[in-house]
Amino acid sequence: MAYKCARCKRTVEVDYEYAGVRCPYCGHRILMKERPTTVKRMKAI
Amino acid sequence: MNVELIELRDDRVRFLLSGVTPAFANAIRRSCIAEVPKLAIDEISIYENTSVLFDEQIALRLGLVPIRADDLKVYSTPDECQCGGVGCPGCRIDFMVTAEGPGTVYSRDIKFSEPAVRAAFDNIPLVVLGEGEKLVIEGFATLRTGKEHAKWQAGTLCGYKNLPSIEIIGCNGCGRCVKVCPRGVLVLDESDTLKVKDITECSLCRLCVEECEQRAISVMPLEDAFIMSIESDGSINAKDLVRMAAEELKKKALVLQDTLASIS
Repeated sequence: MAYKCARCKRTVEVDYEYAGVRCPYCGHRILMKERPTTVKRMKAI
Repeated sequence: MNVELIELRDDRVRFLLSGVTPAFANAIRRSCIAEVPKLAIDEISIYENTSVLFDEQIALRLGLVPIRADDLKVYSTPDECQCGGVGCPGCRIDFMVTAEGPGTVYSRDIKFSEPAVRAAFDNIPLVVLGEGEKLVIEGFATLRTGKEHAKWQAGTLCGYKNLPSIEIIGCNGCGRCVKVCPRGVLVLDESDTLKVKDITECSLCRLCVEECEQRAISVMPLEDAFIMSIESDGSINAKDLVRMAAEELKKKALVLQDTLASIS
């Protein structure tokens, strides 16, 4: 799973299930999920 | 049946249709709205969207952009297409939108694969992109009718009203009805005779009838004459829109005729 740190904006790889989630570079605890690379197809309605 | 042109513009036509029933005038109106096929963006694929709008919001805005083609007869609706609706250049027109902020993405940035197809208006804003925000969308447009979705509705403001008829008998030239008319339909000429300036402006409010003490004026709607006002959204000329609406009605009548002939 690829996430992005909300503070230092670096891509973070979170692979484990520890109780606390932390950015390894700056220690910030808020991570944002990256947009998946799959192409989104939808009706223009 | 008589047709008399009142006003003709690129996007709007007003004409007088007389000698027809209200059902026929309504049929023309409904056909302009729901039966005339037009192009609109059908499906899109979003490769990248880092703008402030959701994917679905941008999809909605793209779908509602009116699209103009130089010759609509080249394309057919997916039901009638030879490919059976699978997708071929006869029923699908591909497009692409690529933009990077800062700036605003306008309808002129929608690039179609056919040079004869483009957005009807250049300056419809789609989304505002900030610094570093990107938008990469690809998709296709199809020809369908307003019955399926309002984005394929060719006639936007279509209506009609009965032509009024104003009769003046026994007028004394006091001019009170002229002052009370909210639309300025009545006018007193040099010899103080009451005249109708423009009958198509009358809204049948009958304020003049109430105001007249001599009961000289009577306002009635004509049962078989209508002032039709058809406005297009920019994708088709208003005159072509009415012509195509009549064609669609004719096609339906012919299908009915053939079906009835095959039954008996």
